[in-house]
Amino acid sequence: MLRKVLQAFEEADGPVKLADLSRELGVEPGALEGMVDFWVRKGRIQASGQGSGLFACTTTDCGTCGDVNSCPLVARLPQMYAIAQDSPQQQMDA
Amino acid sequence: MATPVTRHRKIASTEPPVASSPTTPASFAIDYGPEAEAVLVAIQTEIEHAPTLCEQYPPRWLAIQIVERDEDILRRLQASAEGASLLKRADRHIQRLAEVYGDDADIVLTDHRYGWINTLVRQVVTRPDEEKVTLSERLDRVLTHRVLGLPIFLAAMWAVFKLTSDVTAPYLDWISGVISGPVTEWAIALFHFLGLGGTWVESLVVDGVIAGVGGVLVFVPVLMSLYLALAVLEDSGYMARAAFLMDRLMQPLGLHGKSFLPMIVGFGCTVPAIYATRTLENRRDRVLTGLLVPFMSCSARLPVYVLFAAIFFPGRAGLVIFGIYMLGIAAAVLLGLVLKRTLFQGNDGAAFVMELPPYRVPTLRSIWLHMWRRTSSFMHKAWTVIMVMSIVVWALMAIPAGPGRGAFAHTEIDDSIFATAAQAIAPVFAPLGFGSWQASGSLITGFVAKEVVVSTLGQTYGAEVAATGDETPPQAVNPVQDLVRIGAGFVQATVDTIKSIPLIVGIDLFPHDESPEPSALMSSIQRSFAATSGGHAGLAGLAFMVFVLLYTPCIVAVTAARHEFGARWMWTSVIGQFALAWIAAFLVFQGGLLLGLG
Amino acid sequence: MADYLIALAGNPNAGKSTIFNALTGARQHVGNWPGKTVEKKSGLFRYRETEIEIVDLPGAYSLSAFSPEEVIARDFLLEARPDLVVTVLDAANLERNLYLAVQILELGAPAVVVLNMADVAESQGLTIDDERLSQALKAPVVRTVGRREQGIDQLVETVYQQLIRRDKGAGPSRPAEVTLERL
Ligand SMILES: Nc1nc2c(ncn2[C@@H]2O[C@H](COP(=O)(O)OP(=O)(O)O)[C@@H](O)[C@H]2O)c(=O)[nH]1
Ligand SMILES: [Mg+2]
Repeated sequence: MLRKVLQAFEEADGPVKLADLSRELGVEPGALEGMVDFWVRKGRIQASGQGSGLFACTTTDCGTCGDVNSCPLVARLPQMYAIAQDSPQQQMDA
Repeated sequence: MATPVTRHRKIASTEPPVASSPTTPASFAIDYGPEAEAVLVAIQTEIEHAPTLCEQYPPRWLAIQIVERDEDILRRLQASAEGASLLKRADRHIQRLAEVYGDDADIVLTDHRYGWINTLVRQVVTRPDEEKVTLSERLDRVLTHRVLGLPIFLAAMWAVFKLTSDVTAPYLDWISGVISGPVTEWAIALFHFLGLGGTWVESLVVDGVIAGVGGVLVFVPVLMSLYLALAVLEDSGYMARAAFLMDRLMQPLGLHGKSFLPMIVGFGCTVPAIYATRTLENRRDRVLTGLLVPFMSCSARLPVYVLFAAIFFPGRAGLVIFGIYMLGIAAAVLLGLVLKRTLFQGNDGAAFVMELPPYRVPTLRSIWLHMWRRTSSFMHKAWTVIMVMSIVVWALMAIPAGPGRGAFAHTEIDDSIFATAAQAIAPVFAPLGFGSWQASGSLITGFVAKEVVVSTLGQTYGAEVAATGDETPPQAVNPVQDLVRIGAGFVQATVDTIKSIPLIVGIDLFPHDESPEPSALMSSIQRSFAATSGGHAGLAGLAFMVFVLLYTPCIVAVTAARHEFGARWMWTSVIGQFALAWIAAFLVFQGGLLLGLG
Repeated sequence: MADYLIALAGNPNAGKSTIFNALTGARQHVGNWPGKTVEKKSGLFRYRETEIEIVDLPGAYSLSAFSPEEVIARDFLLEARPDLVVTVLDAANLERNLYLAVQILELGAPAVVVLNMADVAESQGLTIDDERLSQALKAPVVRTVGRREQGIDQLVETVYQQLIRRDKGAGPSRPAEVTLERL
């Protein structure tokens, strides 16, 4: 079951709704979330969305927010997941 | 024993006792498959030879935890000699299992457990043939439809810009009137009262701060309405769908998935968007995305568009601004395609799986909160970055460019170092139709922040307006009368706004009286652009907007790019953006002339 | 002095506290888990001359050590070894909720499985075969609607039957002094 979920992530080309994936795999949405969480913990799937540290903007001198943790200009995006590429190719160097 | 004390007992006694478990209590176990079971049994046997462990933990359960690499249990086992040696022996078995499955052993067990549960649920739960379709799903069928989704999204965005530019125009006029009218008059009266009338202090406040910062604050209603619309779209759950649609749109172009996320962030602000590229594992993808992100028009650029659209395209402002945003996306997509096929060849980003929350009716409270947070951050910027820049520009406009050209704060504006320096650069922009020193000066200060383009235009053209205007001595200020005027103006603006709301959907219920009287600043810009473009002010204005869209967003974004990608890529990005902005503006202006437009 | 100790386990929002309140009424004690900031609720109820202590475990999705709540729940089950674990499941989200239930059963704890939110499942048109579920899990299944206190009586009866059956049965019962020690 878990593997099928990972496989679906790997094979997806173009965005997929979690709800559609749940229907496709015949897994209840809640259970699918649990499986996705498992892969996120294993580091095979990367989660990005609110509170995931993605928007950790490290500047305070942008003059807009003055509060690092809450850039008001960034829209609240849905929770998104994507397969983590485990072999980063570091070909481009400055 | 005493009489029952709980109500359950009381109620229960009126009902027949219920039969208990239909099964005999056998111990529960999942079959993890032959290979895994062999490993579990082997480890379990080891555990059974360790008496203290047996006492503390059920053996099979402990074996499962060891194979699943439960960190807490492993730590506890490591702490004792018995546990540590058990782990060592268990590792051998686990290795074997991992080899058989070609994957981590813990995955094998968890996978089996989920599979076992899934099978059980399929046996135990019967779902209705026709699964109940929630309203949310039905909405999604239309709003995220393969074909209809995108046009609906574009229409929604168009309506948002229509709202922000056309509908709020009356408020914009009102604030503009308040700042250039009563506020300026009060300040002048105050300085005269203090005996500072006509001094450089008065000039600093009136020509520096009020003209600069005030010129930007005029756009508060515009931004508030944009933030209002965005808050409604976000809180209702539609923005999540928009992200989904955009990602799908980018997919054939290979710019989807993780590289797309920073681009979406870029519509708010380029700086966090550049930092958001960190989620990409691959440096090549990070740099590529970092190069494209600045073309997503950030909200700081909106005041420039609104001002220029109001001057040059009254009545079509919403459409023009919408077009500018689309142009930014198109530029990013085209450049992305080119770079991906040349410098940045590589695999496409992994696709996103998105959890779309159900639609809901937004609460007034949360809409207000979001709108307020964003508006106040804009105001904060006005009092910091823009204020400082306004004072700097004022000072540079007050310092004469050389001996014999007046004294500090008593120089002809054209003789100031600001005008002289800007004039020297102006020829660069002459082929684009806006070769005046005011336009070039505002684009230079605009490197700091895009709002500064507006504040500098307000100062440079404002000084001109003041100079040509008759120098009337300050009239006696009547605050009560002024306040009444301000209040009446606000009411009138509200009435006008409400009247213009049907315009969003293209219905014109109220006959137009006449186009609103353009402000002195607006007509001054119009005249100047007409002069530098040989009478094609509209084309020059559009070229200016395109230039502002495409050149460096702000100095902080440049710093962020250097921080994330290094100095080389930072310069590549700054120079590339400038070149692209120049070429695009050139094409708009000269192309427009060739086609006989404007 | 309670005769038995039982624990309520389940996912967050499965309805544990609702059922806990229905069982104990006012006989509750609220404190913290030792060394944690997580609230610990325990209470007492009496049924057929038997005094039962019940502990409301923090909500958890699994018994793996991923969150403090999960560690607390697991340690309690391992160390206090309750006589029975009442596993509360959200019947409308059975698949996810079963994960914890299965892990509790794998721990070897005697359990009663509660299908709470039966009303929600029904309104979604789901039919659940309790009998089959009970057979697969090797534990009795009781259906409840915690919010309306439906099925609570049956739950109490089932819990009671399980407790005395284990006492009578040959199953590995805990030494008596542990029961006393605990309280
Ligand atoms: N519809 C319905 N709601 C319930 C039921 N049981 C509990 N709830 C509600 O579900 C929510 C969560 O319950 P709670 O007992 O706090 O869950 P806990 O996190 O497991 O303690 C509360 O709002 C309860 O009122 C039920 O059987 N049916
Ligand atoms: Mg609770």
